[in-house]
Amino acid sequence: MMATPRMRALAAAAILLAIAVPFVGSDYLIGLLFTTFLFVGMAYGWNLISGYTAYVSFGQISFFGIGAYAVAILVSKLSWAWPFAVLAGAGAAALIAAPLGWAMLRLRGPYFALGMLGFVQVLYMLASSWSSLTKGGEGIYLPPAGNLRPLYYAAALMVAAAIAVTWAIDRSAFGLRLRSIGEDEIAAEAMGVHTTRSKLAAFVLASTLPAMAGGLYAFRLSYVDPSSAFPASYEVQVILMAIFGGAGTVWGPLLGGVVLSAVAEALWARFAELHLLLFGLFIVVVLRYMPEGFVPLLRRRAAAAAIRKDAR
Amino acid sequence: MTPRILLQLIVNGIMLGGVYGLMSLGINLVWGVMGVVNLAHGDVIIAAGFVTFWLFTRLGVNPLLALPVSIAMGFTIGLCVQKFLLARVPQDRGAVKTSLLMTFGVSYMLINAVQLTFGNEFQTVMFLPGSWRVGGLDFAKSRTLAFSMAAVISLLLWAFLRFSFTGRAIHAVSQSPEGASVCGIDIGRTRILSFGLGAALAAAAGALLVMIFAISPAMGTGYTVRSFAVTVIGGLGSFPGALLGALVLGMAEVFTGYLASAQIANGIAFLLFLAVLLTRPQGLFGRKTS
Repeated sequence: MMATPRMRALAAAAILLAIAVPFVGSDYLIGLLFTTFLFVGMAYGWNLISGYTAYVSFGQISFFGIGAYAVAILVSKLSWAWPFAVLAGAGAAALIAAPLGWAMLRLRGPYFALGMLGFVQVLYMLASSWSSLTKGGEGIYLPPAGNLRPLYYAAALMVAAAIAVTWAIDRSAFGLRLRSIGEDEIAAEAMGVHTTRSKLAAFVLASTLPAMAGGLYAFRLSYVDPSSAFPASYEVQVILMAIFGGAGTVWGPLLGGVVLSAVAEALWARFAELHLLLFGLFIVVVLRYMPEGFVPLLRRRAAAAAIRKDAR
Repeated sequence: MTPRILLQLIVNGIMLGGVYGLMSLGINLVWGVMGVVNLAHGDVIIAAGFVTFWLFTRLGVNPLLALPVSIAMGFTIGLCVQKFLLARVPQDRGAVKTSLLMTFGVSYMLINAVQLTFGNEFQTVMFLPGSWRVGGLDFAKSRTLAFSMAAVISLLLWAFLRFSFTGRAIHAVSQSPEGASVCGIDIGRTRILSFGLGAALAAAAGALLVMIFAISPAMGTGYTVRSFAVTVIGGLGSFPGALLGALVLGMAEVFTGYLASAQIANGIAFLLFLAVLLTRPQGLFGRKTS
């Protein structure tokens, strides 16, 4: 989107508001925004690999779990401070994502999609059975998080970093390479794009965001077990947010994440047992009637308005 | 491990493999005709398992009589997904991505529907307890029945694809949609039918699975991965390959279950899948294509 003065003012207002909330908002509001930030961060992660390239990952939740367990283990066993543990979780996710991506990214379409689904299953299995490290199904307890505000700022920083990185990539040659892979990988290769290197870089980068979100989530919850570390319903929500806002755009994940979190809080909280059904239905409806998502739609309307203005 | 235990594990592996083979046939069929994978495949398996369970415990219906009900349900689900969703996806470069995402959405709708209808507990059908003893080996009655039914249905499918006009049309479309179209085959209809058939096969497998294992609503994804892994191990598009892949997975799970734990056995499908794709991407039996 163009950096019009109005957009800049909007962005500045949003940033100021995000900084101000912990001073004026209630604990409920801070908690709500914290969760929203985690989802937005994850949506940016998904967007980097699955929005820009055509590699649809249904397994980003695996990195969420890696981040959650990294924080749980580092904080409870080695008594690390949580900010370092969260960053270490992101590092661990990247270290795992590199060889995983090397193996998986040579698979296309359904192969990659099902491979990532399978990877989540393997991690779940590891988390449940490697008791000396993860305490299995019993789970790891952490000291209570206490003050929520530092966690809130950490989550906000993560979102800011995610937007900045996506923005930079979107306008860079690297972003163009990723898009060309999404459009037509063989053609991209023929034109000299080192597709493997680009895909792998995007995949590794994309793994760090859910890992940080998972780490923050685990510390907030002060408990980690296999089913809270790999919540399948988060995967659905994150994908829905990204495609609703607009996959492969800079602002789509933010828009989708914020709008859908608000809707979820206002409306779906009352239908808790229908969550998955509604998420699934929304995915299908968005893909059917608005496959490009919201941001390209807005952009097109803005462009049309500008043309009308010129004509006048 | 004594030779007797070894033989017993092999028997159990073959029986499990029979059901896995049936599961993978649906994935294989849909893949052949459309080049997509139904990510709700495993959830249809689980839904059919619960329908069988419900009919058996509430109405006392014999699971074998419940089988057609499950198959009809699976067929209807598959038919609707293809007719109302996938058939309307624009056939451009993003088609595979959109189809995957759509069936992913359907998968969660099904999981939730099963949870709401049947609850979130583990359930199983205790239809035929006990086992037959032949030559010092135990043939659990339920497993033997599930294996034989899976074999019968697989054979019926093979005969259908080989000899009936519709079956040959499906075959033709999977070889060359353009060629089939020129010969007067309605591609859209064939695709709808294949997708329905794929889901019907999943449902049949689910109805048999619930006689062997306890299932819960969220387990579907694991079976989608297994079905696909079997197809990949055997080689996409190869009928005998799929059956061999199913035996490999069935054995591998039974042996790891015995030597390590059932939980670890759950991850085996992915490891085999990855190992095959990295060393022999066309599968053990597949034809080498681009």
